[in-house]
Amino acid sequence: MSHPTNARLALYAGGELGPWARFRVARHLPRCLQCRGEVDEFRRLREFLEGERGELPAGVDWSELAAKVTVNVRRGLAASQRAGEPAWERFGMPWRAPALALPVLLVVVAGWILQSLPPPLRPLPAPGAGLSPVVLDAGPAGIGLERDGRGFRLLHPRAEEVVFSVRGESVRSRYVDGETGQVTISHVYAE
Amino acid sequence: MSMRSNLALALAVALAGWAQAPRPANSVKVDFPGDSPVTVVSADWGESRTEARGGALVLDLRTSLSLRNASPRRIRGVTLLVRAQEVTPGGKASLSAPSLDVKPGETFPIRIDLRLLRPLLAGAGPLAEVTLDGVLFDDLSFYGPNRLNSRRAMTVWELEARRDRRYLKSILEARGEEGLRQQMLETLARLADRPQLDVQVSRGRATTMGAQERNVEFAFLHMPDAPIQPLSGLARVAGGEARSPRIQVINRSDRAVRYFEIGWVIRDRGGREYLAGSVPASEGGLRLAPGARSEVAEEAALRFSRQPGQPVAIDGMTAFVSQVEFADGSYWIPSRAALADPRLRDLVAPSVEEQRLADLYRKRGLAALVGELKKF
Repeated sequence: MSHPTNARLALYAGGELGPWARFRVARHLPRCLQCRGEVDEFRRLREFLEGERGELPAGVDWSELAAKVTVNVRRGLAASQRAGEPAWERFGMPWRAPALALPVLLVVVAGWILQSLPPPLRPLPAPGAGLSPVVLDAGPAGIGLERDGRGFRLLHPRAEEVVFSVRGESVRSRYVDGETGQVTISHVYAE
Repeated sequence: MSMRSNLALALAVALAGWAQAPRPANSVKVDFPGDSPVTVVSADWGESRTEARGGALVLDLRTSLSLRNASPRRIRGVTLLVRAQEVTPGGKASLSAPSLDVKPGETFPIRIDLRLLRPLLAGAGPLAEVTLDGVLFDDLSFYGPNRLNSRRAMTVWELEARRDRRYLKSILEARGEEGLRQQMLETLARLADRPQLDVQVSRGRATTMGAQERNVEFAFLHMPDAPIQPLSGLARVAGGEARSPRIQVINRSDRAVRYFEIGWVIRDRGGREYLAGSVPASEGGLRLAPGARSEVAEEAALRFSRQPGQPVAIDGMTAFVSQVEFADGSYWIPSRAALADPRLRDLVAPSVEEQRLADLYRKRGLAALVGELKKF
């Protein structure tokens, strides 16, 4: 469990924290005996000082003094936070978030552009110029066609009683669809 | 770094990821013609996902299109064309739903399970486009651009469906429900026991063939009423790979033929046979007059394996005529009697409709099957 700093507890005890910080400290206190004790201590000290106010030297503007103390406490708090931050944040580099977002945005845009460009990445040779042979096949994995690492296949996942055959330069499968009971005949052709 | 900075960074990274990962609904464009008799009611992309693998992106696009029959006729089949030009130049595929019976105004689903593999960074446009290639109606009329010749394929499936429904109805009449049950059990057993191979087709590939390569001649299964008769044929074979099959045929009918397909069976050294597929005649331009001869040929190399890495050593090959389209637009398909040949029965898979009806019997019982047969 991480504890609020003493400065933050002191500001909380004096009712001088912002709404979000106040909410977070208030959420922490019921679960932490130690911090509750610190806050009680700050409150007692504050009450003591309030009580002693009348006995201190006259001519002191207590409101002005309290404001100065508050400003100093805030400055100290900010300085302590900066000490734990990376150098670029301490020197005030507000472009960190855009710097992170920009490469991601570039990836998205590049993907979008590349997808809209015409294929192929690996150009197919012109007909008659070393064209790879078309291979058709028929088997338990369906009937299909493949050429140069590309291809397609007609599957029959719910098929029963599959019959394969070759007809000229095409392959054929025939089966009954297990769900509909309908016979389907599929062909793959080599053009 | 403060919590605020962390949050900003996380948000930016998430944004970058979002910018790179394609959304399923944007990855596939579903585009049907304005006058299409089939309209898209909805597309559910619920199970789609994206995954980066090395320098590639894998998109598993799982959708169920809900389509409506906006025509006044019953729909028997639909074929969708799937193009993935952005991913694989020249790559196209199709999905067909045959054996339908969709009344006007009814909706029906078509599921598309497509996996795309593409470089991590690619264009922003749709990766695949789904369009309509054709719709077949109950009167065998057709709508669609027919870029994949889906009219012929769907018509043949529908003719096979009618043939097999007639056959099953005749069993029901002659042997009752018990006879129909026996037939369905045989069909299910054929589907389960049918030998299956994995296959790779390489187009233009420098194959592994070399000194071991040899010519293997086709043997032919005689189909008594087939309008086309195979005369001779051979393919280059080495180990588990066959390439460049060539088959000479003659038109024995009195009508001109514009298309035919030859079924291709391979036999391994243990004597086990597998239906490898079919060799189609070239699309367009063929007009085989009565008595004329022609040749079908493929330049692709086919590699067969039982499992990945276990090639099938090809020892022999057999061929048979599997379908013929005449110049007048009519078709020939093998009769049930021809398919009852013991070798063909074990090799050729049940038709699309027989497979559907067998599945219906397995899941919903004999009463549901009888009810389905009575609908037609």
